Amino acid sequence: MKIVYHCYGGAHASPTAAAIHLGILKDNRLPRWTDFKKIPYFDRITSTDHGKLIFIDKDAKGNEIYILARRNAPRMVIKIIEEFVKMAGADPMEYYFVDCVQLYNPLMVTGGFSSRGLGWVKFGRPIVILGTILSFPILAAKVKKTIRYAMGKSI
Amino acid sequence: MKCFYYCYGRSHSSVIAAHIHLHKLPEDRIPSIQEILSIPEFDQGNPRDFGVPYFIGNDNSGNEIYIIGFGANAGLALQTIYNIQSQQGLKTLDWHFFNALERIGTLTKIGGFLSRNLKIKSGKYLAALGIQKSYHRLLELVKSARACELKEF
Repeated sequence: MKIVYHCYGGAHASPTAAAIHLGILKDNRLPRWTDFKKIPYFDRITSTDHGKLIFIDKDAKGNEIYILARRNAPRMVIKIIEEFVKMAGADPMEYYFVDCVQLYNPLMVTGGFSSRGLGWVKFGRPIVILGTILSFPILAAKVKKTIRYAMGKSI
Repeated sequence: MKCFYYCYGRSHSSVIAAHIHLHKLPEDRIPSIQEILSIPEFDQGNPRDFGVPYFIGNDNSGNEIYIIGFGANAGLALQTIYNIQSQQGLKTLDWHFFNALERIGTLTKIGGFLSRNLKIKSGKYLAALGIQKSYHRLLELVKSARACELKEF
């Protein structure tokens, strides 16, 4: 299965979710400030990467873990991926999309936009990290549910 | 080759361009309002179908002609499709995208908005009138599509 964690810019919520899934971050405690350096692509994605399925790694069960930036058009981007993957001759049912944007988090929005949108990295990054720490329990729960689903599909 | 005419909602400009391409609309004159309204796919698009290609037919060369709507996110959509092509390792794929939305004027856009968003039926007549005014630009688009011009992402 190809599990795709997606969010607006692909830079914060979805890489964090992917990191939880792959065990890079422990899901039973809040991450430390320094843990965010371990997250692949955290606060690194740019607009040229939007719409791209970015491969992170395979999990213990062999599922491929991706992140995806889909801005404010999740339904359209997912439909496009499904329709054009099918048109290319591959199986769109292999893909499982997980929306990582659960609640409006003003710290993630402000910090993320400042860092990625405006290029104010020194200002935005600490704010978005704080926002991600606050959202962490929700993301961890989302990832646990995804892993249970993937295990169910593999049986 | 797969040829995709795209616009906002897969309702107006892309539909007309595709039908011109397939010789279902005249190329030596401007069609009447009734001819435009009689096209089955005209003014039928739905936001739920954004990103979903709709097959119209095969042209004389056997190329598949599709219409598709990307809403206000054409740039993101095309970037996504381009990445799919690259990531699937599909070097031989022949997908070409042509922007029909940029060939129409405000009249069709207003008519389309009235019809599709506000559900005002007379909007489609306004949209058809706008198509008539933009018809020569849509003909140019189809001409370039037939010449297999590649769309730059």
